[in-house]
Amino acid sequence: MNDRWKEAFDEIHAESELKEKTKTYLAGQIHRRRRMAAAGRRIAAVACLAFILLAGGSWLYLTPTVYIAVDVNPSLELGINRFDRVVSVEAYNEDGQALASSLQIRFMNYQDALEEILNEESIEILLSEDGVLSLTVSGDGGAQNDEILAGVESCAAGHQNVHCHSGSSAEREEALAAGLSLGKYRAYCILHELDPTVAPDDVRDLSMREIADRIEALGGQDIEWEEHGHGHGHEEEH
Amino acid sequence: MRSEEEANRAVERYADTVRRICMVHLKNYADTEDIFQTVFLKYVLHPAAFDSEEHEKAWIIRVTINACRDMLRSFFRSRTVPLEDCEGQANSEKEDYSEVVEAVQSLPSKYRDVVYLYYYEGYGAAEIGDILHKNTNTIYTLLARARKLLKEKLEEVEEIE
Repeated sequence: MNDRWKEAFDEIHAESELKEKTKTYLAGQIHRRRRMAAAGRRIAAVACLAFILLAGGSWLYLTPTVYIAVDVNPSLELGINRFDRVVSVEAYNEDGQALASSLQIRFMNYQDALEEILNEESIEILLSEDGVLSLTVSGDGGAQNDEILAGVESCAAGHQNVHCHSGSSAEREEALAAGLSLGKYRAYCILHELDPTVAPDDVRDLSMREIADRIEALGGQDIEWEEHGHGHGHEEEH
Repeated sequence: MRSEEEANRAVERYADTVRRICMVHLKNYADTEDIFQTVFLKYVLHPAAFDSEEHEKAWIIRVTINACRDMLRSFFRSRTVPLEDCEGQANSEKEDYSEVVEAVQSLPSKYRDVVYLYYYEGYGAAEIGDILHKNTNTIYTLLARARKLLKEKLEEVEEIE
């Protein structure tokens, strides 16, 4: 390299003040960015925790633990969460669909929801005309199952022709596989024993009264709720 | 992100190089301060490790040249005049330096980096091509034209070659 070039550019140095100013600036930037990164990590952790709590809470809240099948002719199934709130309303036939869409019972306490159903005009008419309403509680057993059954019985006590039953989750699964709600499935099972040609589709749109009448016509015993008479009955798992 | 110690070490090691490149391109001190902050902050935030000191130095040179070009192209600069220029360059830095530096400063900007890197830093045409992302033949062409221009400005151009 030519000495003249070297001497010329060697004269040029960064001023001490410039270097110190740059170092001070860099120190500030490094500290600021580290603080921001730490704050970002804290915010991310809090957001993750909030998400987990929200997702977990939603799952706890929105997952049914006990089901109440409501069968007249409209057939409905209410999913009840661990906080005794209605979190799902499933219709099993067209009448059930019509009833479900006329009710605003989601997130209501299950007893209030049942009162709403029992006081619904079409249900009241059916019951006054000797219709039969079956309320079947199913779950995995345990305290909540018993408490809800007691609560359902308490609701039923003030109404005519309303009968309460208890079932298991396994029985409910069988009913779902047949495309019926649990109350109607139980009536179907009794009818099927008397007349093996009867299929689930044959009873899906029948009222509980009509199924009971067919059972009687085939010489079967009075269906169990008849044994309990009006008001409310209680059948253990079968 | 690199530590404060690494940042300080880089400033001590490369401040003169950055200053010389700024001198070749810029006319006012405030811009030089901005370039220093830009270049060394990029260094601090550069995530990859360098293979060697030579690699690190070449990276610093490339970033400094790009920062100077960006500044010269910037919207703000294209529409404003530095205070020093308004004062008739009373405090102009170039007055303090040799005629060689002045000659380089007077070249069109596309020749300045090539001349500086070739004659002062001692890089070959291929290395300059890598730093400036240009073809080696282009570097030779730029060098030839720059020599011709320098010859007109410096009587002793033979010595330079």
